Amino acid sequence: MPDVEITNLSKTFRDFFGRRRVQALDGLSLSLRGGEVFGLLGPNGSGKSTTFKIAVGLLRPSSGQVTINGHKPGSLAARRATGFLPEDSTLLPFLNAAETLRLHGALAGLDRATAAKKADELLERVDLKHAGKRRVKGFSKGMQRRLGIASVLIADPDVFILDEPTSGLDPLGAVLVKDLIADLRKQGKAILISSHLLGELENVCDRVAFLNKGKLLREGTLDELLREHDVHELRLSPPDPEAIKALAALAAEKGLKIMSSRAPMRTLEQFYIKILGKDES
Amino acid sequence: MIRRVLAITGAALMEALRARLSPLIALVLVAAVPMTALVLGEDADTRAWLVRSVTAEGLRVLLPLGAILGGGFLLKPNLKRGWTILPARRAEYFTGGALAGALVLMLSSALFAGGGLIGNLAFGSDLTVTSQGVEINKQRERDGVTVYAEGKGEGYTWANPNYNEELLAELPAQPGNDLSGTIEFRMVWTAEGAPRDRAPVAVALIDADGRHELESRVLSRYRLHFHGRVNGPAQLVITPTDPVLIIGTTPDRIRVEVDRTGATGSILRLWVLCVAAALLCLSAVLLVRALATAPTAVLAGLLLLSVLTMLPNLGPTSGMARDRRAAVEGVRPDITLAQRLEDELAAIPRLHPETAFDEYLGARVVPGNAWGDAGLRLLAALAMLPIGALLFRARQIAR
Repeated sequence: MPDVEITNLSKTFRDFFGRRRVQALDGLSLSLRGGEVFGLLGPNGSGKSTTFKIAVGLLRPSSGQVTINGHKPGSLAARRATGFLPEDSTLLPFLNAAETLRLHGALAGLDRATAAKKADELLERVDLKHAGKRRVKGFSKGMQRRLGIASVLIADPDVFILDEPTSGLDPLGAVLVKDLIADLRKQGKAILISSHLLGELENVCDRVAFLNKGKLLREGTLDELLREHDVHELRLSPPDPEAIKALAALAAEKGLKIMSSRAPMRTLEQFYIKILGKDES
Repeated sequence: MIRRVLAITGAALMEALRARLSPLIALVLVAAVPMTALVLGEDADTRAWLVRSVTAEGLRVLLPLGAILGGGFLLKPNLKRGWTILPARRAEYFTGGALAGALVLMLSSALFAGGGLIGNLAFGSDLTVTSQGVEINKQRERDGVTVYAEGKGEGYTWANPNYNEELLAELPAQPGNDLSGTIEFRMVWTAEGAPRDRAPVAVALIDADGRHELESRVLSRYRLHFHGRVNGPAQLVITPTDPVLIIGTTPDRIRVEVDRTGATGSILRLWVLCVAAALLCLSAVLLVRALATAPTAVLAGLLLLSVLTMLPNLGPTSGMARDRRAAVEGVRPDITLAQRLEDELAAIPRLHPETAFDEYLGARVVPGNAWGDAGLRLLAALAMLPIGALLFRARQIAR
């Protein structure tokens, strides 16, 4: 079972003379198991990307440690187990989409035929089949992001570390990525994901942690963190006015206060997906 | 690992070849030499000289500069280019990037040298094939008696004008009666007065007709050309003429013209030499880049280039003067730290063996020792790559 353990992790960036410049992380401890999506939330500069970079071996911690499936970041075993999508899409601009995926397949140790086959499958999965022969240079930011995600998927790692995976994506692209993440969760993969857009993580994460200035503020399941224990919401369909009146009367009889009663509003994202989904189909 | 390095190399190479300006740059590289000769040369001789000059200087000066600048900006250790999805394989990325850079450098310089070859075929003339002197000894007139002394074999044999010493070079057998060639020598100033002659040597020949002077022409500060008639086996006599300058040379610095041939082989040798030197610069810059920023790496490369091209010229003569005095007086004088440093710096091998370029510029065939020189520089370049890869792997990537 894949897992990520972050124990008492601290990182201090120092200047040339060794003077402390920024305390990016301060005693962060988290754990993540397979089949779980863990979200790191926090404002810019809260330490999310630093945590990720330590987890993939790009930075060394000042103290504490990270293990990926029990291995140190940067070790061969940890590298094989990890797929990392950095915040910026980091693709070679003059390769086309298929070549990019084949390159990442080769780097992941796949033979040529397998890499080509998986590249085709993944292009379809991230909705870039039509752009397989186009150079990455001409891709929109969202297309580059989707290709970046496909590049991570081709190695089939156990642990996914995704830094702002929906950044630059339109709502349909974001839904596609969220569906991918849900699929990966079903496959038993461990997924560590970050965003400063809270709504992005709400639909996909099992647990979240809030960071600020390198410190862990709160951590827990969405249910634990978001449930309002002193309020109950009831939705009716169809919205029969007589039945609503009767329920309101019953509530008053029981001494309950009705805080709101109205037709629910769709979110803009839901509306956008509905109309564009219809249009594209 | 090798497969991954090759995959990264292939992708980086494809990136370079598909860049928008690549076809134009390739065209410019091929056309540079012939077009320069065509536009600037008014007659056949000028065009032939321009072809040799632009080819040699382009390879000697521009190629290492290009390697330094290209090497400085070749790698992106931050998270901006294509490799971070496999973040921990930095050593492989470094090696793959370096190999791709080396291949681009070889390809672009080959295009330029190819242009030089085209120019030579179109406007150039054949180069002179030379053979080197067999051995050098020396003779001295003392009380009307000529005393002979053995030379230093392959090393420098010196002649001091204050002791009426002359160098005697055995020449290889000549196919005809005309003799022409070049001498390259070094000078040691005795500090007993100011040097006065531009060319402080006179050249004569001893053959079946006896001793007779040869006509000579100064080519550069340390080179002169000689020619004259020869009859049978001969010895070249090199006489120092300035009383404050001791003259020394080696057998391979005395070259006699024996034939004429096309420039293809010489351009190939120059190209190999220059590519090896440029790869040395590239490796050194990448080594610095593994830990530093691009401007720092470029500055380090420029510093290396200036050390390897200028410092060996700075102070060899004072060291040779000390050696000479030590040999004559039998006592090694104490030398200061600054003098020791000067000696050490003067002993650094040059980035390019100047003789190869001088020969080519002088319309003579580039000597065959170019291969060995190039091989040594390539080995030095290769030795730096794994060190750079290890340093790059250890580097932290904060941005």
